[in-house]
Amino acid sequence: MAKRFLLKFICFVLVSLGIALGLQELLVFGLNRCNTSTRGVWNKIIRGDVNAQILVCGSSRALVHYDPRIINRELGKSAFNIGQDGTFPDLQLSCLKTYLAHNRAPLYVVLDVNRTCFCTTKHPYAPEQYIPYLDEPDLYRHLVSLDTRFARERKFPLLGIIENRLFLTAFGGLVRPHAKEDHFDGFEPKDKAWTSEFAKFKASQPTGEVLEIENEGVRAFRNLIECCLQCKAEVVLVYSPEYWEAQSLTRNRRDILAKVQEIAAEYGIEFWDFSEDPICLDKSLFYNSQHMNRHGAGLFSKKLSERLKGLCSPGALATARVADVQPK
Amino acid sequence: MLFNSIEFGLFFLLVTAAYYALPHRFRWSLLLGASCLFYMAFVPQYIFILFTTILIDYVAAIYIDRSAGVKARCLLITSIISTCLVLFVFKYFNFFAANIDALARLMHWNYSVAALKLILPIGLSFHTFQSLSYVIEVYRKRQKPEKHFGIYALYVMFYPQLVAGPIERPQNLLHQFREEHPFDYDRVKRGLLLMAWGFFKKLVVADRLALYVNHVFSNLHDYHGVTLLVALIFFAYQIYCDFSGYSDIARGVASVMGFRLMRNFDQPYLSRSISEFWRRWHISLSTWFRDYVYFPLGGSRTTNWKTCRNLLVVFAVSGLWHGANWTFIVWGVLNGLYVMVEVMTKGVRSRVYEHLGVPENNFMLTAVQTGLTFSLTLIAWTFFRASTVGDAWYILSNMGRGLTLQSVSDGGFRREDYLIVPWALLILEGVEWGQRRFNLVEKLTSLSMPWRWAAYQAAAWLILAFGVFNKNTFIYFQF
Repeated sequence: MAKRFLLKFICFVLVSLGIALGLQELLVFGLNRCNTSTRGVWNKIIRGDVNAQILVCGSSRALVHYDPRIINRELGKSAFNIGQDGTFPDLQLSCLKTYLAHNRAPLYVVLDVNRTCFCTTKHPYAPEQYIPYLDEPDLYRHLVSLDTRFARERKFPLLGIIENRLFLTAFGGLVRPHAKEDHFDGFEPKDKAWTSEFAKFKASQPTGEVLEIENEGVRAFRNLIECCLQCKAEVVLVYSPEYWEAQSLTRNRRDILAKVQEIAAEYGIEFWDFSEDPICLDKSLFYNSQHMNRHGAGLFSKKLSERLKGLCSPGALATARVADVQPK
Repeated sequence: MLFNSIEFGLFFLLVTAAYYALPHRFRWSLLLGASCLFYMAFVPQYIFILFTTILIDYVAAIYIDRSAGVKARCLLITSIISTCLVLFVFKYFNFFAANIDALARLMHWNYSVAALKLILPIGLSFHTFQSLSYVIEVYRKRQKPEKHFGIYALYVMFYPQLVAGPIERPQNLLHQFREEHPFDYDRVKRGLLLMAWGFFKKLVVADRLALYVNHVFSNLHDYHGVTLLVALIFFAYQIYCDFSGYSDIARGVASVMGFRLMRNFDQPYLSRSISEFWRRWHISLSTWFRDYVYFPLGGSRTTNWKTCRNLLVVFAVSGLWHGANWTFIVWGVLNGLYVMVEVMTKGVRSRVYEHLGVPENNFMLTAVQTGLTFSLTLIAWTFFRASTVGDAWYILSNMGRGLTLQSVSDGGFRREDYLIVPWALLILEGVEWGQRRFNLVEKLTSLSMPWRWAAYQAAAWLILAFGVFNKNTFIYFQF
């Protein structure tokens, strides 16, 4: 009786494996067909459909602060935002390299800097955003060095789909690739009011915190700039608005800003600090201390475009462009 | 080692294969070794604590059986105190110390107790209660003491039910370790089906709802109105599916190896009263409290006042059993008050129904009673889930403020989850209803092979496709 059961069990497992292989092909195809949301942004990048003249790069702050549609309207140049949620310069570099592998190099790169710009990724945040792009060599190499799960998810994409709850997304890609859009040229506007996150942070860290300036983080940040300069793009470092009350809670904020300033000077690139802009005083423009909502992002993008106009004028470009990618 | 992990899948396959490959006389040692390994996968050194309580109760039971009168009673009390002492140190010491501290500050006394930095051994309350039931049953002469130390240790440590029950009685479980369990195709199949159902409850329903619930409860003040109510209803289903899912997997695993564990849940949210709810929710714990606390206190065969006192004591202790926090005590006392009111108004309610000519099994009456019981349970769950009594009060007082369902996308609850949750709940209710009405398992196993296999494949892929595989622990592990 046990033998009969074992035989049936093995047959059942084999049938399951067959189904798994079929599903894997079908679902990866579905994910690649998604035209909207985060996956839509990635698919556009991988297909090489972006080729923007102005590229915004950075973390979640970049993702929700820079509206390429406004930049495009104000400057008459195509713009795209490749800001990635929960990333630090090391992972942002991998994303940028992936972008450059499939798209024309941009003329200008707006590199968003923030208080964590000299930190490195310890655990990739929201790993599902990288499925099924693990065949991209730059991205994969870095991700797998952070977490070995990406190795098995690359080998068995169905496992990645199951572990990251992408079954329905992939299925949606098969039957309805043009779902409701929440990303606009890579930008993700947030319709949110002020939440309790900052109050909780303040309660847990009443005297604030020190964010380490990691040597590895500084190196990754430099690599990111050098990668942009190598493709002859004009780089601007931008510290987008940060709610004023939170600024004093990063106790080494001055050191971080000084380091950014120092690196900008080394490479001869501009550094625009918007953290003293009046936007920072208006709580209604933020949903937490680090992130602006749709309204705040709109105001900021307009202000940024005004400044970019100066940089993008032919005269300014000639004086600002650096010939060598190495620090001066 | 969590049930919802690949490690457990391999462990289960290997242990089961070895179990059936070994002759009967070696099986207990295999199961004991496997149980030790299973327990040590959490915090290895805590096996010594478990071993100590096992040794105390093993020796105590033998001596209790040999003694009589005051001596037996003294031995029983010693055994209970020493077993409970371990529970107190690990689970309750810091709670009592913090409360004594707070009281001392209030009275302006110069007194403080240092908190212990201990991790609560997993499943401590469960195996403590299982050990206690053994010595009490031996004392009551309803169970012969187990002379074989290995078999007794296995009774406490049997891995399917070691960390979250069901809390078994020696009369039901102990003798099963001595019986031979030959391979039974149907029983193994039913065990696997029960495990699959448990995984569906845990991975598809409980862990998905947890994404919503955990986010709302950790950012309570960002939410109000319907969002809080939805979070609370989701929590009611989360805790049910999490715990009953665990129990089903445990019973399934045991059944594959030929053991029968008691049923721990019987569709509790269909109860028409709170007392019925407690007969259908965590049955092994409710009956434990009934037999070892409520009845010895006098039960309901006493004056009304004493019955109420007994009910309150039992429910308060049950609350404390769940966790060392005032929220659990309030939850317990609230349930006690519900049952008290129910007991005291029973006669009046019967007279009202009689007067109105409404029979007890009237559909509308059943629906109203079920709805009311569920609502009262929800109020009680608020205290169970909230971190503080203040948070629970915030939920209850803000639940009626606003009819818009706020977005909770930041907590990992994605847009598609809003689509999956109703379907998952529908399947859950549908299958439970179907099982009650038509015995679905019988119907499924009697299907022809292609249909049966199609159903099994569909079930397996449903779990894989819509499960949440982020190794969430079971809620009751913390108790």
